[in-house]
Amino acid sequence: MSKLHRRTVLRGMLGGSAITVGLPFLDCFLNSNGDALAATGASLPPVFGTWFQHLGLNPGMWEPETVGPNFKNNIQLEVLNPFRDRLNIYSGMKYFIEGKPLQTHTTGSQIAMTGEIPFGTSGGPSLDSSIADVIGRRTRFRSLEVSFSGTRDSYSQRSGTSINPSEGSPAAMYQRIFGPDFKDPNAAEFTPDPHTMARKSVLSAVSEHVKGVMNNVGANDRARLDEYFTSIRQIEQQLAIELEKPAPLEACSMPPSPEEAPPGTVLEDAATNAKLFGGLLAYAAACGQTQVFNIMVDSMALRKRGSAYTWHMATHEESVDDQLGYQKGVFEFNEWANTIFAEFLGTLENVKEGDGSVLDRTLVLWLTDHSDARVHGLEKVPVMTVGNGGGRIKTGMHVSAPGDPVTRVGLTVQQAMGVPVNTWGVDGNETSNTISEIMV
Amino acid sequence: MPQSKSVRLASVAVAALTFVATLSVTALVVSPAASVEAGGASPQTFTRRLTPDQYKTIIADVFGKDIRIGGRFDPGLRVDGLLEVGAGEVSVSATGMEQYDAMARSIANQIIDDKHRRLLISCEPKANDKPDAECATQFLGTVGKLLFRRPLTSEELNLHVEAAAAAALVEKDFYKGLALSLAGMLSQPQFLFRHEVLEADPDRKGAYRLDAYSKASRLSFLLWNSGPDERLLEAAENGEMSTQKGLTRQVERMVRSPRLASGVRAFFSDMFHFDQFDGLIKDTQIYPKFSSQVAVDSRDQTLRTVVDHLLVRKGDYRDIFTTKKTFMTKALAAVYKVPFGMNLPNGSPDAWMPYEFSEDDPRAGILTHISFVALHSHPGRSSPTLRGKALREIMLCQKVPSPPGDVDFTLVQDTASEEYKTARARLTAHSTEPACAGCHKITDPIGLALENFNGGGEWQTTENGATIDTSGALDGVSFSGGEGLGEAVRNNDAVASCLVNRMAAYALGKKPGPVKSQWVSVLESKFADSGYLVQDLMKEIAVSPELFRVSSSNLDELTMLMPRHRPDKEGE
Amino acid sequence: MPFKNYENAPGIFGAKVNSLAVALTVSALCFAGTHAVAMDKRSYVIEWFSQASHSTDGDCPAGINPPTRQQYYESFELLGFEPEEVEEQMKKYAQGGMPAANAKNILRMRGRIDGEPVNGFVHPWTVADPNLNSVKSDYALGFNLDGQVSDASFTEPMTNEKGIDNQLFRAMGCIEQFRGTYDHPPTFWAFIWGSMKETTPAWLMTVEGKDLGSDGPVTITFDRALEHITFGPTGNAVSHITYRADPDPRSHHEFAGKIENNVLSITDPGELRLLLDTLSFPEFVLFNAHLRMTIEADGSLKGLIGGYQPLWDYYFGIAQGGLAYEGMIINDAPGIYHSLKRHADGNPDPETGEFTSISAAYRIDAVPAFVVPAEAAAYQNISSR
Repeated sequence: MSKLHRRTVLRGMLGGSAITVGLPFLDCFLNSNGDALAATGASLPPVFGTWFQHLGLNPGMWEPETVGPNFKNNIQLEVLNPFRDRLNIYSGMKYFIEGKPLQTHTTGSQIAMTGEIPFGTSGGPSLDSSIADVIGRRTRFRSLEVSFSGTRDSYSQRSGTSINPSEGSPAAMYQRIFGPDFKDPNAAEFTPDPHTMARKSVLSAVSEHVKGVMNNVGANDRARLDEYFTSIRQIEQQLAIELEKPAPLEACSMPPSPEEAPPGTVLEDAATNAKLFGGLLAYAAACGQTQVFNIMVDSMALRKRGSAYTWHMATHEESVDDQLGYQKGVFEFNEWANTIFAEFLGTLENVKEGDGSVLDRTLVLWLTDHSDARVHGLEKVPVMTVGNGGGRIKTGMHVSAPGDPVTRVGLTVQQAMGVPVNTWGVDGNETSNTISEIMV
Repeated sequence: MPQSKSVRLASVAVAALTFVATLSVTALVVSPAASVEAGGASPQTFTRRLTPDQYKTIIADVFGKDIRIGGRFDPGLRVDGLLEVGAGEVSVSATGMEQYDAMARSIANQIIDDKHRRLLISCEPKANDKPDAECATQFLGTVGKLLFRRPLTSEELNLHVEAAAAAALVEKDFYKGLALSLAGMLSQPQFLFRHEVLEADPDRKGAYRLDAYSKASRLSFLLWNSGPDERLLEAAENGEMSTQKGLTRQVERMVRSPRLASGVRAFFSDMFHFDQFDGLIKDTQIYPKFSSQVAVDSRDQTLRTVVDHLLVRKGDYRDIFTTKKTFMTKALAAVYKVPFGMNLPNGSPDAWMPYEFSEDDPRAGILTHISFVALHSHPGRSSPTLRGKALREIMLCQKVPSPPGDVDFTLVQDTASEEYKTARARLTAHSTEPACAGCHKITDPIGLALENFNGGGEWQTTENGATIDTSGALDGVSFSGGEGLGEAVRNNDAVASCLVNRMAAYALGKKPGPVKSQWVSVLESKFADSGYLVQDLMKEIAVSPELFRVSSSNLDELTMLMPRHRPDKEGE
Repeated sequence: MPFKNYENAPGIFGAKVNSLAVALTVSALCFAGTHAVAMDKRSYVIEWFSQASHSTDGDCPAGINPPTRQQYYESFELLGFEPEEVEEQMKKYAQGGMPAANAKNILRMRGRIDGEPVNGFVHPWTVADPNLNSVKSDYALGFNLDGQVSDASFTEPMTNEKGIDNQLFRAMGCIEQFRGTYDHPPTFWAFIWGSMKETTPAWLMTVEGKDLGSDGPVTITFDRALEHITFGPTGNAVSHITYRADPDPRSHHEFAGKIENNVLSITDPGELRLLLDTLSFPEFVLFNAHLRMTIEADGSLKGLIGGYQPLWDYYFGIAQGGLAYEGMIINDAPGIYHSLKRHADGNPDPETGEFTSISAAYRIDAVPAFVVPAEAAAYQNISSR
């Protein structure tokens, strides 16, 4: 009887001390220097980004021939071959407008980022915002928005009335991140999130109690009970890790201050700024300053130096070449953008972290406003993801989903990043159909 | 640290009682009311996991329909033909637990937000930034009873109030603390699993029965696919459930309620394997009409038809295989190729209207619905074998053996074959090869009668230019076409007993074994006498003492009790 | 008794409509299956609509008209700007911001009434004619509308019929965005139809005859639906969707026709009017409307509809986008006006003798559908949120 009493007392006490969380609780997880424990096994947090590029891609020149894994890139995406294993291509999907007026170049973008066509400022959060709510709560910047042409436009928003504007100047962005307010994450004192502490305390108390009371079960049910407790335990462990000082960010170092090209619509300048922004974002992630970024390529207005002929004009004015069967000038613009994209991915890959790189824990979602920009097409819209956010999705797949809403990709990506959502989008763009082929 | 001390003491007290109870057999003989108060004194069990529908319905019942439930559920397991039986064998994976945890916190956060707080929390704390045991007790006790489907033990309630208080201290917010504690409740096995507590049966020596709250749960999940409502819990509390009269009164109340339709939908959705719709993919080149809207609508069409026929019209169960009355949407009408105009604003979501296939329309009965023919087909072609197998296993409760591992499917998959133009021709080997015929004669003659329905559910009279021959046979009865099949199924002996067995298993959570078999026979004959009325069958099951009895000889079968409690020990 | 064009003064909802509605109702209700009725009837929804161009190599010997930005050089010249001034203005146009806005305004206001600048799109006749190049080719898609063969007419590339009247193609066919083939629509039309097809109420056709499986006379009825087209996962319209025919008689027209060798055609041409969309023509009007559609194996229809289209309908249909459309997709709106006037060949004005319409041909595709009459109190076409 006394043995049981003692056991029960201990159990109760563990339950008791877990409930009264305070600073003492913290101590037992840090050593006296406040350094992180070595073998936590905790992985570095994921990074999520959107790459928004208007005007689609040349129809028929980006879709791989085969569906599923081991696809071969079509000609327009060959420049992404070094990243083929990290690349997912989603084809056949459409933007649904059903009776609402089509605002060319805007409607598709709105659906891509928010899942709906808003009335005025009625819209909800963009998907990056929902993701930042889950993975970006504790970083200095919930998200960072940049544009290559210098525009302040952005499709990232907390709501229809709260847009996150893009930064067009790499120098200004540098100041913002690495300027006087920058604090070296490896030197900082760690304060655990009180909310996480509260969560863990409740979860632990509850599961301890249940374990204690529910030990009168048969063999079959005991096995199931054990499985249940193992699952709960895993959450407790995750929370415990979050309450510890995070592993040091070895890759974090100050990037050099950039010398930027003048913001504007010239292609060559945009390319320069793209490179600079790529580096800034990579280091921002490596230094834990943000976990979410949004890139606005701003394709519409871009043009070659000395020419007034913009990318947008090309899509409408240029004829489909008789011999080639596609718009040649538009193809060049698309190639240029895809090359810039590949360079950006390369920049992320070059920032090494341990055995891997920033790209290893990044998931970039490539979105556009139309499929065939020439006719403002909304069907067979190209969508891509590069990276798996630290193992959150399967990659190297061509997913074909003819007639399905593009929001399937947005839904799946949000789910993979931990947003508790099982339906996303409104009206015809509403979907609960996760792309199971890529879910782990 | 006064708080932890009281918890410690409470734990001690409870554990002490538990320990005492495990040694003393007499502790088993407790009155229904006391069994709950003692906390752990009577043996508890750990049976079926809530289905996603049940989870959502309970949240909607307790907190309102506008609470959004995001997140995904672990998949179910089908055992003995039912997910409801498989629910007794699954637990929660790590991913599933993460989802439950996130779901629970999301639900709790909505409950404490400005929109819902005043409506759902009937008390106010003395201060918003500090714990308040009184208000927390009131709220958590009230909702806890509905969520756990029985009153919380004082230990459970104290634990949750303490947890809320501790979290409120850290967060400096009463409501945030309350939400975390509530989220903890929603993650507990007492919520996620349907526990069934046994007590000694006063009417039969050495046997056990479910306690009043467990009875209430069995009723509410069978009839309403949800947890017991306040009224039913009250009946459990005051002993009403323990008398046959009281039980019948409650059952009649629940059967009269429109919520019976939810129970019927949930049952047939399970029995008809409609969970397969989740993974249903059709080749859009071959079946361009089969959109995801059509998939969703076709499932709903059959469930509406069944509910309408069985509950609204109070029709003969067997007639669901022949009825021309159904429901239709615009998307479905395109697949059925019937005109179907509705006066709605442009761009409205799909709306439902009652619809009846005309006299000379070859569609009649649920076997000719898209939900049957398209679900049991391949992505790009029909399948007489799959359809025949589905009919046998789903509607007639008959087992069809699996195919051998080394079958060459190339011939049957060649839908463009010049020589074998129809599926019937391609499946000739099934009937001519002796190794194949044994099993295939059980399935193919059924499915071949449905060959007018292609893999997307559309009507066709020819295949590759050849006229389709839809002659078929079922257990010696010959017929032609889907209408003929429906007639034959309706009149087949196995149809009614299959339903009764399935429903009994659904209610019990287990396939009825030899002990229950007599009860099932009685149910079957009553079902026939009533004119095969499903509502009466459900009521009959719900008021049967057998639904709640657990005999000593089948304790093993139930695996519900701790080994120490087996009555073959000395001194009982 | 074949029906000619349906005279419709505004506001006629009367006995004629109702009896038609009753007839349609009865036949619609019977149309649920494969049994024989007194009359065989099939309905369709038009899922594709675009101008019919048959562009070939060398059909513009004077050259394809230059893209808009280049065309603007000429626009400035025609206004009297010196070459250096023209260069300067075009530089500003490329710059963006205020300089571009000023240059664009000059272009917008390039009409002249008594020397004063006026909007060139609204008053195209006051803009100097840039003399856009037109088609010189033997072939064009369409119909012989006047029953004559002349120098101004084409040969049909598919049927080899001579005397084809398609002056609209002649006027527009050397502008890049209006060039195309039977199977590949011109860019402008792909853009317009693509913008409209998911929102505009659909056009419906009903063909009725003794036995539509064999040759014989038929009645062809056009209607407008209350619903927009339902598209499926493949991007094509879904077959066998039910559409409600708008009781508004403005779009209801019947023609006598025939089926011969799997080709459906109108035998008694008349006036056709179909309400469309402000994105294109608010009302699509064809005088002396002809039809020729092939009945495909899967039951769908594919072919041409043509006739004389009022000049102003066509002009404003494409010029209404003003400078934005011009910069994007139509090259030179007032210039097009002049081309249309130059090539117009129908409905001469009784007083002046000037032609007020132009021969035209359009490509249409249709898939099987059900048409049921809407109740007289039909809902407005506003989609719910």
